Amino acid sequence: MSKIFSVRYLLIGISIIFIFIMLILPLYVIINEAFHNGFSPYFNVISDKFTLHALSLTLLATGTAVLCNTIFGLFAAWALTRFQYRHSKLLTTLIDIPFTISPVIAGLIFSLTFGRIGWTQPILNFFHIKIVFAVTGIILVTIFVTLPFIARTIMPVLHSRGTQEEEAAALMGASGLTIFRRITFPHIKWALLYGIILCTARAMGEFGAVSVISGHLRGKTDTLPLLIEILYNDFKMTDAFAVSTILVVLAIILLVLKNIVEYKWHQVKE
Amino acid sequence: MIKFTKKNNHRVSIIPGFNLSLGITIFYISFIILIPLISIAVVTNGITWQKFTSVILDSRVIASYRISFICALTAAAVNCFFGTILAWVLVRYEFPGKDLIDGLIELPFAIPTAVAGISLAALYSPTGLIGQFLAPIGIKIAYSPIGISMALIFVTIPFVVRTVEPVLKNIDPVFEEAAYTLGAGKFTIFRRIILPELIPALLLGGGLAFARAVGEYGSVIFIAGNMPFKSEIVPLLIMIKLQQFNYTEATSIAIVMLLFSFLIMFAINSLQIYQQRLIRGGR
Amino acid sequence: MYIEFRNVNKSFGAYKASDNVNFSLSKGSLSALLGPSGSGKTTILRILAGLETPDSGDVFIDGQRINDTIPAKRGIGFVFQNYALFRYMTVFDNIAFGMQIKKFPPKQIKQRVNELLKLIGLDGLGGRYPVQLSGGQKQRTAFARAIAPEPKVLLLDEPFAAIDAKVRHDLRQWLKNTIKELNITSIFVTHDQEEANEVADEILIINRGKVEQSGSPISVYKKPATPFVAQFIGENSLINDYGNFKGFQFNKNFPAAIIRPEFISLFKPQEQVKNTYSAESGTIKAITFRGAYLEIIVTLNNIDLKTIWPTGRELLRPQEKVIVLIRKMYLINADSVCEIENAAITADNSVII
Ligand SMILES: Nc1ncnc2c1ncn2[C@@H]1O[C@H](COP(=O)(O)OP(=O)(O)O)[C@@H](O)[C@H]1O
Ligand SMILES: [Mg+2]
Repeated sequence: MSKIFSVRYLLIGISIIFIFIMLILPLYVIINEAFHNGFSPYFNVISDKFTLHALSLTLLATGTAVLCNTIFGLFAAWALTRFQYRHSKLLTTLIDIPFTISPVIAGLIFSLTFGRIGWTQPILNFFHIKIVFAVTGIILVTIFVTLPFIARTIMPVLHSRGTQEEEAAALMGASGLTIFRRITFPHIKWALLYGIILCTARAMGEFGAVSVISGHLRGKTDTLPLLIEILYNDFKMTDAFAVSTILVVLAIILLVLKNIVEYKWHQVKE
Repeated sequence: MIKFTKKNNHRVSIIPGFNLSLGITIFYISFIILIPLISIAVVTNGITWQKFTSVILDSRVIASYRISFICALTAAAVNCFFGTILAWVLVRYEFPGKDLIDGLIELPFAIPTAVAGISLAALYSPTGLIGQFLAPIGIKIAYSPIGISMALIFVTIPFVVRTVEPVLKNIDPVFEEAAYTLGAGKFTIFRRIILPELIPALLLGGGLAFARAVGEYGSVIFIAGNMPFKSEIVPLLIMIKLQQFNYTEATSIAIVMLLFSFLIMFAINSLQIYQQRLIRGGR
Repeated sequence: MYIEFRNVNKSFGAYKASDNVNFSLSKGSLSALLGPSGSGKTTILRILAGLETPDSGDVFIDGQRINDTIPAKRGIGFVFQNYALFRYMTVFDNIAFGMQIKKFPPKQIKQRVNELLKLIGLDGLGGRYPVQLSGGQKQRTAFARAIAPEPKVLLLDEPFAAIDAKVRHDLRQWLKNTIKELNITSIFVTHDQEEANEVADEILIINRGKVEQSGSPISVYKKPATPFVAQFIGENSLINDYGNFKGFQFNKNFPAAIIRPEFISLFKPQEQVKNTYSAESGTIKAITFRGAYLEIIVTLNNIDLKTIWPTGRELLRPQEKVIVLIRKMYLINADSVCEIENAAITADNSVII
C-alpha cells in the first residue's frame, strides 16, 4: 500500500507546485511590483485621470458587449435548440468562429471593413460615423471576440433538456414570453449567469483586437489593458502593475462569482 | 442561404418565436461576424497571386509561422501532461486546499492577457523572481521562445483539465477493479485501461489549447522579446504590418492563419461530437 | 363521429410516419393506438394535437376541420410520454398553468386545482416539485395538468411506459375509471396489447404508419383482418410446414401459418379424447410457470408450438408424451389472412353422428 501512497502524494505535490508557480506567483508579482514604491504613488496612479478614463471605457465596452451578447445568446439559443431545421449546424459553427480566430485578426477584419481603406467607408462618411480608432470600434470588436460565450453555454443546457416542456406549455396556449419566463428561464438561469461571467472576464481583458482598432489615442481610446501596454512600453513598470491590480481585483471577483454560480448550478442539477 | 423546412405554410413547431429568434440570430451573426469576414475576401481580390505568395513565403513570415506553431504545440503538450495530473488529482484524491486549486484553474481565463503578460515578463526576466535563479545557470526564459511557451502555457491551462475531468469522473471503477483482480499494477492499469479512455479528451483539450495558443497575442508580446526570426509570433507580425498601414501584407498573412484556424476548428468539432458521446456513455 | 382522420399523410424525410391514415372515433370513447415502437402512433397523436402538421389529409374534431386551427385552440389535453412536467414549478402550479393561460379567475383556479389534487390522490402535496414525486404520482400530475383546462379530447402518449409493473396495474384501472367518470373522449398510445385490451373500448392497430385494423379488443383478437394483426396480437407460434399436421393441407398461396395457444388442446395419453383421428402425439419441451397456468412448449413433427395448461390440472413434466389437438390456425401470406379449421375434426364429428 505504501507505494500507492507515494504516487498519490507525488501527484498532489506536482499539482500544488504547478499551480503555485504558474498561477500564484504571477499574481504575487503583480501585487508586489504595484506597491514597489509604496502606497501613495500607487493611489496616485490608480486615481490618475487617464486611468479612470481607461477604466470607464473598459466598463463601457464590457457592459455593452455583455448586454448585446446576452440578448443575442438568448435568441440564438432559442432559435438553434427549440426548432429543427436544415442548416442549424451551420449557424452554430458560425457562432463559434470568434473562438477560433486570433484576436489580432479579429481587429484586422474590422479595420478592413470600417477603416480608412474599408469598403464601407463611403457609407460611414455619409452618416459621419467613425468606427476605427474610436470607441465604437472598441465596442464592436469586443462584441465580436466575446460573441460565442453566452450562446454556447446556454445551448447545451437547452439542447439536453428537449423541447417537451415548451411544447406542453404552447399546447395550453402560453405565449412565447410566458413560456420563456416561466418554463425556459428557470432552466438556463445558472448557465446564463455562468456565460455572462465568462463573457465579462474576456471582454474586460480583451487586448489584441482592441489594440488593432483603437489607434492608442491616450485618454480617448485606451482601455485598461491598452493603458497597461503603454505604461509598460514607456518603462513605467510600477504604474503598469498598479493599473493591472484594478483588473486583477475584477478578475478575482469574477472568479469567485464563477465558482459560486458553478456550485449553485451543480446543486440544481442534483 | 438558410432554407426553412416551411413548405406550404407548414409550421416548423408549435413553440413560438421561430421567425423572430432566427431573424435576430442571422442578422446579428451577419453584422458582427460575416460582414467583417467578407472584407478579407474584398481585400484579397486586390492582391495578385504573385504578391500573395511572395508575402507568405517571405523568410521572416515563415520563421514566425514556425515559432508560433512550435510554441503553441509545446504549450499544448505541457498542458496535456500537467492537465491530466491535475484532473486526476481533482477527481480521485481528497486533500486540504483541493477546492482552492479547483477554483483557481480558470484564473487564466479571468486575468486579462496583458496583465498576465507583464507579470510573466517580470517573473522570468533575468532580474525577476524566478529569472534571477535561472540566469546564472544559463537558462533564458524571458525574451526567448521558452518565454513564449511559458505565456501560452499560462493562458491555456484550463482547457485540458476541464475536458479530461468529466471523462475521468465517468470511467466506471469496475474496469480498474477488474484489471486489478487480474493482477495488473497501478501503472499498467493507468496505461492500459484509463489512458485509452482519456485520449479523445486529451486530444480535444490539447486541440482547444493549441488553437487558442496559436492566435494568442496579449500575454506573449511582453515576454517574447519580439526579435524577427527568433521570437516573433504571427499575430505580432500582422500587428507590425498593420502599424505600417500595410494592409495587403497583413491580410495575406492573416489568410494563411485563418485557413489554419478553420482546419483546427473542423478537427475539434469532429472530436467534440465524439467526446460528447463518450461522456453520455452511449458507445 | 367525434374525431376523424381522412387520408392523413406525414413523412419525415423519406420515411412515411403516417401512411394514408383513416379512422374515426365516437364521442366519449376511450381508444388505444396499439403497435410496435416506431410504427407511427405518437405521430398520429401529435398530428391530432397540432404538434405536427400533416403533409396532406384532413383532421376533424366534433365535425370541424382543425388542420388550420392553432394547437392551443383545439381543446386538447396532452399527457406526454415522459410527462414533460414543468420541473421548476410545483405540482399546484403545473396543474394551474393551463387555466392561468386561459385567464380563469384565481379563485376558480385554486378551487379546481384542489379538486384535481384530491382526484389524483395528491391532496396536500401541491407544494412539491416534480422531482419529489414517484413515477405514478408524476403520471397522475401530468394527467391532472392535461384535464385541468377542461379539454374536449385527452391524448396520452404511452402513459404507463415509465412506471413499474405493480403500480402500472393499479394505475390502468384508475385511469380507465377516471376517464369514464369524466366522460372525456380519449386516445392513448401503447405498445402493450394487454394494456390496450384492458383499458380501451376500441383499439386501432398501427403498423408502419398505417391503421391495420380497428374495433373492440375482442373483435380484433377474434378476427384479425391482416397478416400483421394476426401475428402481432396474441402469443403466437409462426410455422411454415403446417401441411404436416393432421387435418391441415398445405396451400401454396399461403406460405405460413399462425397458431394461437388456445387453438391447441393437450391431453394426457390416458385421457379420453373425443377427436381421436385428428389428434397426434407430441413431447413437452419446456414449461414456464405463470401463476394460474403453465406456459408450455410442445414439440410436434419437429415443430415447437406454444400453448397453455391450467395449473389446476394434473401437472405436466418436461419430456412427457402428450396428445395434441390443433383445432384451427390462421394461414397468412403477404397481404391476407385466412382462418381454417382442422378438417379431421369435422370429419370425426360426422363419424360419431
Ligand atoms: N421529428 C421527427 N423527425 C424525424 N423522424 C421522426 C420524427 N418523429 C418521428 N419520426 C420517425 O417516425 C417514425 C414513427 O415515430 P413515432 O410516431 O414516434 O412512433 P411510435 O410512437 O409508434 O413509437 C419513427 O421511425 C421515427 O423515427
Ligand atoms: Mg411513441
